[in-house]
Parts: sequence; C-alpha cells; structure tokens
Amino acid sequence: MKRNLFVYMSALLLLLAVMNGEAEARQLDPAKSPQLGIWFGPVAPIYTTRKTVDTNLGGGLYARYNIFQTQFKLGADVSYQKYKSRGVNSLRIIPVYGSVIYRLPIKMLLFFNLKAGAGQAHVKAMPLNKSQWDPCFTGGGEVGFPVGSMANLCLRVEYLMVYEKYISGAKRNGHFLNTGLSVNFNMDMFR
Amino acid sequence: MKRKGLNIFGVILLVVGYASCGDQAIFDDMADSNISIVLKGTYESNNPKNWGVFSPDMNDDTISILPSNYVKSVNPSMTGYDSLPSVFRLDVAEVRINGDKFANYRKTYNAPITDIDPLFNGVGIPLKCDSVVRDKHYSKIELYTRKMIFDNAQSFTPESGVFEKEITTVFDEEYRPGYDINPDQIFTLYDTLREEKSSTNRIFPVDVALPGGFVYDGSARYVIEIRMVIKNFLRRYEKVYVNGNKYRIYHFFGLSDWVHDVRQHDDFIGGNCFSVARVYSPDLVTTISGDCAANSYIVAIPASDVPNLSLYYDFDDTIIDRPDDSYIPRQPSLPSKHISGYLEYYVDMEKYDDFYGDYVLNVNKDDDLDTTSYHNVWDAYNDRRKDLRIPPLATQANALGSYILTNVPPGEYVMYELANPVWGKLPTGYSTATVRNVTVTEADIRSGVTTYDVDF
Repeated sequence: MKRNLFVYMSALLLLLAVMNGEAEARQLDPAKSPQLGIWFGPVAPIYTTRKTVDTNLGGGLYARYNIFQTQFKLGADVSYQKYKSRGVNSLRIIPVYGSVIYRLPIKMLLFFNLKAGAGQAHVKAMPLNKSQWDPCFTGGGEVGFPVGSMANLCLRVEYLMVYEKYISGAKRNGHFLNTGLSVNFNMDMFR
Repeated sequence: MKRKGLNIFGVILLVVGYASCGDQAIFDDMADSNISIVLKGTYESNNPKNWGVFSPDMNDDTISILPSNYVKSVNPSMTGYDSLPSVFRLDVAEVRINGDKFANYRKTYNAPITDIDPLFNGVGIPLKCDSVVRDKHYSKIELYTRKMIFDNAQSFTPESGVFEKEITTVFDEEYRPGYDINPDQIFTLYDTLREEKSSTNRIFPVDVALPGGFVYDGSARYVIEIRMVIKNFLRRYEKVYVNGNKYRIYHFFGLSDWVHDVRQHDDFIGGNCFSVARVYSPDLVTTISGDCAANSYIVAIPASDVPNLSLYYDFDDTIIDRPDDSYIPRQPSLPSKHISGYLEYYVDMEKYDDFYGDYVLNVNKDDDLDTTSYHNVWDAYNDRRKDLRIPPLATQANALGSYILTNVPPGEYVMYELANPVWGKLPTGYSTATVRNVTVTEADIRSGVTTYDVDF
C-alpha cells in the first residue's frame, strides 16, 4: 500500500516536472496550455434526421491537453442536445467522446483547428420511449483568437453522427450539425 | 513515445465506441410510422347508405323568422334552395391522441356530396401522422377541426326576406361558397350558462372516444379509423347575423341536432359532431358477411360492451328530451331601430337582468338536492348525451339482402340486424333485433380464413 502511494506520488511529481518543463515553451504560445472550455449555440438535425426533429439550442463542456510540443491536442467533450418537433418526436442526446485536435501550422493571430473524434452518445427518444447508448463519430473545425493570455474565443462547427446501422434491420443513422461560440481558458498553473 | 500514446488513444476510442450499445433503431422509428389515420364522414364503417334526397323535414325548427316557404315565395327566381349542399369542406388542423401531438399536419379537403367521394363512400381519406408512444395506453382521439363548411347557404334581408347573396367563406386561403359552422359549434346552449364556459370548446377539438383503448407495441402496422357522422345527418338552420347596424338572416346547412337539440333563437348548434374511432391492424383482419333483410343495418358490438347496450340506442329523442325552453333566459336583441323596438328591448332587458342572477346560480349549483330544478334536469341530459356510443362496426345491407362487414379484427362480437332508419335518424331497436354471436380468432385469420358467414 505504501509502495503504491510512493509510485503515485512519484508519477505525479514527474508529471508536474514535465509540465513545468513545458511551461517555458508555453510562454511563447499560450494556446498550447491545457484548456477547459464551454460552448453554446444552435444544434441542427441534418440529412435524414432533419425530417423528424427540429433545430434547437445546445451546449457543452470540453477539456484539451496538448500532446507535448506538437500541433496535436487530445480532447474530451460532453454536451447536451435536446431536439423537439411539431409532433410527438423528440430526441435528447448526450454525446461523450474523445477527440484529436490538429492545429493548422499557420502563423497568424487567428488559429484554425481541425478535429475528429469518437465515443458514445446517450440517446433518449420519443415516441419510442426508450433510451440507450449508441456509438458516435464527430468531425469538424474551429477558428478562434486569443483574448489576452488566459482565454480564447472560438467559433466551432462540428458534424456529429450517431451510428445505428450496426443494429440489424436499421436503415438510418442520426446526423447533426453543432455550431456554436465557445470560450476556453488556458489552464497553465505554472505561469 | 508519441506513437504509443496515439495507439493507446485509438484503443480507448474503440472500446468506448462499441461497449454497451443499444438494440433499438431509434432514428428509423421516428422516421417510419407504422400507424395511419383514415377519416370517414359516415356512421357506417363500410358500405354506407347512399345520400338521401332533400326533403322539407331537413329544415330545422330554428327557422322561424323567415320560414322556408316564405323565402321561396318572396324569391321565386332563387333556384337550388330546396336541395342538399353540393360540397362539404373540411379543414383539419391536427389530430392528437390523449394529448400527444402525433399528427400535427394540416389537411384541407373538399368533399362533393356524392356517394363516390372517399369521405362518404366508406373508404375514408388518409391523414398524415407520426408514430405514437410505445406501451402507453391511449383512450381517446382529439380531432382539431378549423373549419367545416357546407355550401348552399344564403343571406336574406330581415325586413323583406329578399335574397341578398350566397354566403362565401375563406377556405384554404380562398373565398368559396359556403358557411363555416365551426364558430356555432363551439358550445351547446347549456355550455353558455355554465361557469366553465371559458374553457369549453366542443369542436376544437372534437373528442373522439376510442372504445377498448389502444396500446402500440411497435410490432405491427395499425390503422386508426375515425368516423364523424355527417352523411345523411344534415339539417338547415337559421341564424341572425349582426354586424354593427347591419342585420341579416342566414340559412345554412349544419350537422343534424340529433344529439343536442337546437331550437328557435339558440345561438349555438354545438355538441352534434358525433364521432367514434377504432384501431385495427390491416394484417390481422377478416370480413363477416351473410344474408339479412334488404337494406337493413348490421352492426357489431364487442361482447364485453353488451352490458352498456342502452348507450347505443339512446339516440331516439323520445328517451331523453331537452328541458323546457321556458326556463332559459336569453339576452334580448334589438328588434328594430324604431322607438317601439327600443322600448321593447329595454323591458325585455330588465326582465332578463332580474332573472339572470338567480338562474345562473341555479345552473351552476353543485349540491342541488331539488330533483326538479333546471340544473339537475339538464346535467342529467348532458351526461347521458356525453356517454352515447356509435357501434365500432356498422354497415347497410344491399337491396338484395346481403351484407359485408370489412376490416374486422379478432374478438367476440354480438351482431344486430336493425331496421333501415328514416333520414336524419340512426338505427335503433337493439332490444327487439335479431342477434347473432360470432367469435373471430387470430388463429383463424392467420390460417387464411378470410370470411365468416353469419346469416340473419
């Protein structure tokens, strides 16, 4: 037990040391800091899903961590999206997914990110009156600019597919376009 | 190191992506409805009786200011007055089931008053709908009708009875001949005196009973059949139209007042859009056919409903009558702009004000022990009207004496052979009718039995 504790503490110290080592580099580029963000905006069903439910407002939270000093980040997203319709159809989706974010190597004030990810979405549907987890995939991009060294303001567009064709007999997947304004904060504790 | 990190991330994605997934095709279920709605304007579920021809009996006793014969004598050039309307226009806003908005699609429909139009030939018109909630018990349909219009409606000047014009109404965004009866169908006369008047509306929606209920399990296709009794149940009413200083007398066709009686000077004709609904799976139905008296009516009632049989034949007006009109206080209207008209109006208004307070209290009493009071009499009348039923399966035999009932789902039925009623009446006489029992089983239908023979 003591030994385990020692291992954990050592790992933590090592991690802090690594992060501290990178801190100097981040001084030059704050966007490479770990980030926490929120987004809010219109979420729209598209393609076949457009016929069953209507556009609404949605939002979510995300966290990102830069993979060392590369152009890549790892991200985790969770969001809440509720779609209603004129009729009895309604959908509530809570996608939880991991993603890889690639920052285009363009030297200017604006930054451009491309994103792809996969995970699971908790889907609750009426009139089926059932809820379940389905695989989901996402891809998209965002454009943003730093607001001081602490935060970034972004516009994001993301396609979300809730995959259901793996179910025998299923003919359709769910297709959604999430757009939104987002703010993320550079969480650099060594600066 | 970098590559290893990415590999681990990929494995995590795969695990997260495919662990504990559901087994329901949610998006298919929302897009493909297994339910369809059919709306029929007939009492019969198939093979309805042909339209009758116009007879003076169709003129309601509301026609008192300008009697039909007087109108015809004043306006000899007016042709087509003594005939049925030629078209019925229906504007359905949406259909709900126990409040669930499963068919929020507007439908406008022009139905010629003929025996071949789908609304009147027993086939019905389809209404678009979505799916309903799984495993929920439903017991009623709400049919939201925006407009119900019959043509052959005239406007007359009140003093002379001279024909002014054919009434036109906006329907489907265009002016068309006809009078919209929906504003007059909101209330019955009784509703206008009750406290709950502000929350009462008898036409938007029309409450349609779904005897036996309906639970959708998603395993089969279903048809919801809604029948409104329109064909052969029309009547011509009179109404005073007032717009500022302009007075006109309207003669127009509406639904027959066979459920809630309408009398002279009544402002509303509501409560007469009587309907029934039933649900069946088109993959699991059969037909019942056989021989019976020529032109008679054959109806089938679920055996479980036989204890409630009295609710089916209470349509005869002699069984429940409307309470005496002399009890009803009516707000007087200005009969003419002459001084004598004003004097008459103020005297009537005083009498009305004096009586109205006591009267409305009486109508709205909850603890009324006086069994002869107006309140109790009309409450009993209203309650019994509310419980009236139409058989889920009904048809008229042909002139050769054979009948066929189609789309019969499995169940135990009691069948009655009833006499062909006169115009504007529903078949009655269950207690003296010839009765047959039949049991339609699912096993029979699945083994290919397409017809049950039941002779009377």
